[in-house]
Amino acid sequence: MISGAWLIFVKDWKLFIRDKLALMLTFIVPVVVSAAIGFAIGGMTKGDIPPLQVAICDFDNTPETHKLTEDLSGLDILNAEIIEPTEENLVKEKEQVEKGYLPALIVIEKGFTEGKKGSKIRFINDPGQAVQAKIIYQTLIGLSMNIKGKGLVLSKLESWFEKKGYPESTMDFARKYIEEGWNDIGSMFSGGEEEGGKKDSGDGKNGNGMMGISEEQAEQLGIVNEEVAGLNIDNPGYSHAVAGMAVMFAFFTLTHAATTLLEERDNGTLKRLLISPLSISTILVGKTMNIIATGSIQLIFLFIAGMFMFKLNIIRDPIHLLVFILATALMASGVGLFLASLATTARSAGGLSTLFILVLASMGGAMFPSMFMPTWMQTVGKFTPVYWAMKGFQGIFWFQKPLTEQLGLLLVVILWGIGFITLGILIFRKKLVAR
Amino acid sequence: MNTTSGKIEIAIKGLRKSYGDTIALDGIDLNIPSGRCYGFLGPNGAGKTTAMSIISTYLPADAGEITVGGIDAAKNPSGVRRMLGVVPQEASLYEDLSARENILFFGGLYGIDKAKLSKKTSELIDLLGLKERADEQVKRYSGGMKRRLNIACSIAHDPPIVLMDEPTVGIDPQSRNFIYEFIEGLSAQGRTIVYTSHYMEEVERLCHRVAIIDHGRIIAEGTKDELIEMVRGEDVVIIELGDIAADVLKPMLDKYAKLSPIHEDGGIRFTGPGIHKDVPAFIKDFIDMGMTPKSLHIHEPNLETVFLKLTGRELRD
Repeated sequence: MISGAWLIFVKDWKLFIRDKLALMLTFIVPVVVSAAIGFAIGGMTKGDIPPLQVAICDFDNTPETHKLTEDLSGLDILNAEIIEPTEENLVKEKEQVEKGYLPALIVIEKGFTEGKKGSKIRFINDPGQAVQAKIIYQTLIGLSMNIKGKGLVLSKLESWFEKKGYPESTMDFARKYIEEGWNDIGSMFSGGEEEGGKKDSGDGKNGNGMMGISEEQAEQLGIVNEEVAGLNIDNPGYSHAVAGMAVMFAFFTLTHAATTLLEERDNGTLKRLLISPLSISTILVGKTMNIIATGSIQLIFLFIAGMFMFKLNIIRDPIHLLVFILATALMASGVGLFLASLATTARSAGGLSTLFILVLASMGGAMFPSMFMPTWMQTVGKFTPVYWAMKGFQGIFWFQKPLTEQLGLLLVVILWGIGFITLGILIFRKKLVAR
Repeated sequence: MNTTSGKIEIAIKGLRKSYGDTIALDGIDLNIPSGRCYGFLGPNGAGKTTAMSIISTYLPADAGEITVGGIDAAKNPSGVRRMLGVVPQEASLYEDLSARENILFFGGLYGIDKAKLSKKTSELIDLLGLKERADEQVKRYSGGMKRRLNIACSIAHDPPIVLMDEPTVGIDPQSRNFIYEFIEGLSAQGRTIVYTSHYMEEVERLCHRVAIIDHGRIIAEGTKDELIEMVRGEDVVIIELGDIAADVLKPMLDKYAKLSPIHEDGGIRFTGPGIHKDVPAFIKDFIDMGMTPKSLHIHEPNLETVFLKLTGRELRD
């Protein structure tokens, strides 16, 4: 069986490398398109979103900070979880942000309300989830104005009046007005409206400037931004998007590879194979081996191109990357084989795969961040193989997790692959037996 | 290779196959002897290809039994496949591979020793006149070259039995002749060859025994001489008239209805015992009807005559 499958594999490989169009589609087009979309995704900042997850750890424990956490929890746009303020919980939640499970963590340090020196609100976030982080941050700033805003506004006014040389009576009037009307003035900041300040850099690795308020102003309010993921990454936009592009193009290429079985049926060579001593299973295993090899090489090529073009770090943990590449190739091969098995002609397989893959890729978050989708779609997306492969590559490139932490994900991707391959082979087998 | 003559190589009993409501094979019984070239002669759609597909184990039969070299095809299809070399009707090749790569690949499916296969491949390339372009991609080959390669790919594993399904359809006379000679060589080696065709001439030339098949049934079987004996004494007279409308000829067709007249290709064919004596009368009748015969042919009966006699139709119908 092995020698028979090997023969099929080698022959298919020769056919593949002699097809110049297929080679171009496999290697060049994915790199160009993924680069373009990678940049595009890095700049996306708008869209309707479901409640955003945030954890709050209040070490200050004052009526003012209680009010702040209650206000945050009461907002429809947030799904805020109040965490018991212990060092252990703090470490645990921070790790959740570092690993991409949580977009942000708000830590209110002891002494913040009374203005103790060095005491602040730490906004710990994953810049890979920039849009979520931005919304949470703006909301936090607005609500924090109730605690520190009055003092900040008064001090700014005093220095401005002094600089302009206005009389003290004018300042007294302004101070009285602000003291009496602070509730109304403070609420103006709570809406989270974006104001001037630095623009988003668009690379997905935002500084405080993208939050609509300058770093200096946020610090005066006592809020410090801490990015804890995607550190030391040269091109975060590409690093973050590369997984989706890689998975999507692997799907397209491998579905095309799987349709060679239909082409062989049409040109009569499949009949020759079927009347040889090889079993149908051996023929299908040989075909599948070739499809997996094609997918693996395509993914490796894409990542190497990413390394040269966008400084994608593929050598940090090469074994980890290789394992995920193989698992993803297995999974994408399975999907390809399954789709081809459903089709009656190579042409119909092309149409079917385009539709199926684009739906899978978009729902699984390969084409754009899943946060832009409605909640139900995000939930359904978790039942697509794309989602899990995406998570795996993001774990490697963005969160820089070790392989040991991704074994569960790896298993899911492999199981998807085995499942689809089994289904594809069974359907093909059934069709070939019933010829 | 020299298989035992007289031994039955392929035994077919009660073979039936339908595609929906269409009966392709309607209970075929045949014994194909070893070491000879056996022909299936019949018009298109007679069931020849279906029979070959079932013998090669590509298609399952609805009913019936087939044994190949003593192996039950239903119980051990893989064992049967190892004994067979199947030449499909269309050139079924990997066009982006070279001739040599195609032969090595298809031969390799049978698990033959690499060195032996490589030697055999070179031999076949030589024998089939492909040597000069053996390493060129097949897509650049002519139709005739592809057909020759199609045969080489089927016999690279040196099978004792070769099934050939109309291997010369649509190719030039030179390539066809090349293939005939090659098949005669295979037959001379003592291989069992099963050859299907709707060309009477090639079956007459190549095959020792012939089964005439029509509408999924064997209507006659025997050696060429045995079959022609069925129409011994019958003459075939063909009078060519040029482009004449069917209704103009109708009185002649009616007058000689007992001689199975067929209007074809601008002429009329009459078949009957000793009718060569009636030729002057035919000519006179045509002239009386205002038609001038352009040429006249009188044939000895052949397999075409047998088919015509048995079915009332021509092989090409």
